[in-house]
Amino acid sequence: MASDVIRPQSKSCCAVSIECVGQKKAIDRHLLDLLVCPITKSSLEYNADRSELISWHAQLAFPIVDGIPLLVREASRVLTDNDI
Amino acid sequence: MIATEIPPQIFDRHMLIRHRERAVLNNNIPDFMLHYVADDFKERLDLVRRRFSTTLCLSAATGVVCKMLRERPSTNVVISSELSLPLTRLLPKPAVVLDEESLPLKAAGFDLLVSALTLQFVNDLPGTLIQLRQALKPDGLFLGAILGGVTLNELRQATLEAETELYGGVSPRIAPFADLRDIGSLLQRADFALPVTDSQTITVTYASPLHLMRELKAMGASNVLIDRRSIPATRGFLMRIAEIYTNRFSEKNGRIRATFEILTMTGWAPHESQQVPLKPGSAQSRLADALGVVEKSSLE
Repeated sequence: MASDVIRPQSKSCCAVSIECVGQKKAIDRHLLDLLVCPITKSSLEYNADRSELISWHAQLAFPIVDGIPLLVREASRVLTDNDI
Repeated sequence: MIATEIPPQIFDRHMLIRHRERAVLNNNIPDFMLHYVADDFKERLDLVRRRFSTTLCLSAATGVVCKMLRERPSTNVVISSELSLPLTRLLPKPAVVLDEESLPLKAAGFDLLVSALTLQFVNDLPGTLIQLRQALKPDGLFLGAILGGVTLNELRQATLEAETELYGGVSPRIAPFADLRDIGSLLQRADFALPVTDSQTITVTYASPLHLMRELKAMGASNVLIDRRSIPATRGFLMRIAEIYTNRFSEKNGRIRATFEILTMTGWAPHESQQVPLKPGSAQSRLADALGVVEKSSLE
């Protein structure tokens, strides 16, 4: 599962930014680990290819723009059959 | 009240975002109040002898409070947040776009949550406080400042009077603000331990009521009430408000005064290390002995 990628690897207090494979956007893994779906409070799966955080419970995908996750309903898109 | 009931919608959050964007992106926002709150928060945090390894600064606006938190050695990983992407882009990373009404925060993920002067605009303050409380680790701290009921009471009175006079009725123009007692009980209801609330009143003077109104607009604090009048205020109406305001609330030097009340809330996520009251009747020795006096019965 893609969510394994975003687990922080060290106990360090400092946030670690990594370059996503194939993308130039820096994603803060420590930050992603602290975020959940705003609607269902369930965990989010990080999709690096689309630069999205997916909430399977809410059937929504939240975009990450320039390393900033947009965890608001208005910014999300509804998952389609193609996403599964 | 049943749990599934939707709280009344008082504030238009989309309008709020537009006002905040206009104010902050304009680069000329009068953020003296945020500076005041940042200094106050700094003093309060300096009294707490513990490290906060994960901190979230909610709706950071111009980032004044974020900056203060970043400069403190005992607050690490300060995450900034705002209500929209254009606002969040201005803040230092890590940053996230979130809405205080439905927080995307992991349960027990944070040591410190800080909110400066924005929670007066959430529709469901009890709900937001409960979500904040759940996002705190045990012994984590929530530090929040909101505007209280005394805020802009002069403008409220002048507007009410002018509107009654000119239109024969009133419409919601200035937001209802919580009072000190309300937020104290809300903190308790949200299961915060050792809740403390206090109130500070700041009096600001302006050259005229129109200067005050212009500044409120520049702060992004224009009316966001859902039931607001859709017709903009006429010049005549504004002039009448200004007249009543000036007559009633002028200083000796001719400037007018405006009151802002800042309510500060602190609450901790419960932890075994915190002091709790003992059960009544569980004392091992008598108070009278400790004081070296003879105990009197209440009947004597």
